[in-house]
Amino acid sequence: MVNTPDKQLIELFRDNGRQDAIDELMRRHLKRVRATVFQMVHNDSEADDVTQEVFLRAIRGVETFDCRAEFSTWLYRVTMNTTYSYLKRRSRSPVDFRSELRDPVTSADASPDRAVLQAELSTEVETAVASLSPTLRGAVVLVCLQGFSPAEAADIEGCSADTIHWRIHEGRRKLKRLLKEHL
Amino acid sequence: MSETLPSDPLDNMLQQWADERAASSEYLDNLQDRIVSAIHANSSAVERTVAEPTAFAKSPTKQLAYQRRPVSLRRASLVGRLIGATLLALIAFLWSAQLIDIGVGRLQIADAMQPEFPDYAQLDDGQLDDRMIVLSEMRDVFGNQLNWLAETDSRIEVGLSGDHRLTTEAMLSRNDIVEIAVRVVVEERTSSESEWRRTWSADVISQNEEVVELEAKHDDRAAMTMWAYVLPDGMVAIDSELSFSSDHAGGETTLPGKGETFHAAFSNVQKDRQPSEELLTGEGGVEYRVLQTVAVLNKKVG
Repeated sequence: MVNTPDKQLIELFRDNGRQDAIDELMRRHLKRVRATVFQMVHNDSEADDVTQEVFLRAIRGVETFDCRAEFSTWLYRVTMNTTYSYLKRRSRSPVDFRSELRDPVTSADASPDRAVLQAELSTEVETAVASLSPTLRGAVVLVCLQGFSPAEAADIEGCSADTIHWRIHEGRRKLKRLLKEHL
Repeated sequence: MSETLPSDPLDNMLQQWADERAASSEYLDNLQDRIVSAIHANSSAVERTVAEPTAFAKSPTKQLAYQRRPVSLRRASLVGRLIGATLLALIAFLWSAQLIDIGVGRLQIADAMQPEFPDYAQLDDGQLDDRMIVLSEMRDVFGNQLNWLAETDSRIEVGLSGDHRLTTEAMLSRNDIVEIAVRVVVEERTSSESEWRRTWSADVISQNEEVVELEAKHDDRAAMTMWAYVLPDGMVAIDSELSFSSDHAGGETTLPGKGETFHAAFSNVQKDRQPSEELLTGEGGVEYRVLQTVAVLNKKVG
C-alpha cells in the first residue's frame, strides 16, 4: 500500500471500497494540506476543522475525480475552495480569528532574547501574510511556501498562469513593504 | 564545489515562519485519527440510513459518497451518464449547425437568463468614447507616464509610473498596450423587497496588467485595488478588491448597517461589457450589491 500510486489508491477505494486506501492517501497528504490551510487561516483549531472538511469533501467527491488528472492537483483544488469558502464565512463574523494563536516553536538552543525576537518576527510575518487578500495569499502560499509551480497553482486555482504570476508579484510586493524593517 | 544562489530574504522569512508554525507529527497523527473517526461516523450514519429505507427517503441529503454503491448500480449510472452525454453532444451539434430552428426563442432564453442590471452599471459606446477623450487629454498632460485614470463620484485620480519604470523598451511598446475600462457600482437596499439604490461608483481606465490602487481619502471612503488582463479570446481576467464604508453610502437615509465596512473581491474572467455582481449583507438586513463591468478599448489611445 505504501508504494501504491495515488490514482491506484483512488481506484481501490472507488471499485472495492478499500478504506485503507483512503487512510494511506490521507497519511500522504495530510501534512501538506493542513499546512496549506493553516497558512491561509492562521489558527490551529480552525485549520484542523477546515482540513477535516477538506478530506470529507474529497471523499464525497471522489466519484467525480478523473483519473487522467493529477490527484494532488484535484485535492489541493478542494483544499483551496474549502478554505476560501471558510474565509468568506469568517469574514462575516466579528470574532478575532487570531485569538487562539499558539506560541511559535523556537529552537531549543536559542537564547531568551533571541527567542523573543524570533517570536515577534514570526508574529509580524503572520500578520503581514494575513493582511493579504485571500487570492493573493493563496498564490503566495501555494507557490512560495508549498512549492507548486505557477502553472500548477493556476490549475489548482482555476485561473491563468499570468494571473498567478501577478498575484505572487503583488503579494510579495505588499509583504516586502510590510516587512521592510526586517529585510 | 557547487554554488547555490542566495535565497530571497523574504522567502527565507516566510519559510521560517511556516516551519515554526508547522504541526508536529504527533499532532498530525491525532488529527488523522479525528478525521478518520469523522469519516467513519459519516459512513456508518449512511449505512444506518440505508438499512432503514423510510428514514433514508426522508433525509436524502445525508447520503454521502463514502457509501459504496453496488457495481450493477454504478454500471447503470455510468451507462445513463454516457447516454446523457451523447444526447447533449447531439443537441449541441444540431444547435451549432442550426438544424434546430429555434432562432428568436434561443435569444429570448439567453436574455431571460441574464440578471437585470441597471443602465448605470453598463458601459455603452457613448460613455466609452467620453472616457477615451478624457484619457487622451490626460495623456497630453502626463504623456507616457500615465498608467491609469480613475473617476469616482467625488474625484479624479491618475496613476503615474515613476521614471525608473519607464524604460525605452516600455515606451516603444506603448503603442501596443491594450486599454481596459472598468466600471464598479455599489448599490444598497434596506431589505430584499426594496429597490436597489446606487450609492457609489468608479470608472477606471487602465492598461493591461497595470495595478490600480485607489485609496480612500477626502470625502471618498471607498478604496479599491484592481488588475485586469485581456486574454487571447477577448475575455478579461480581473482581480479586484473593494472596501467601502456604509457610513458614506446613502447620504439621504439612515440605514441600520451604517458605519460598517464591507469588502468585496472579484477574481474571475469576465465577458466584455457583461456585468458581474457580488452580494453582501450588513447589519439589520441591509443588502449591498457590487456590480463590475469591463470593456476592452481600442489599442491606441491619445
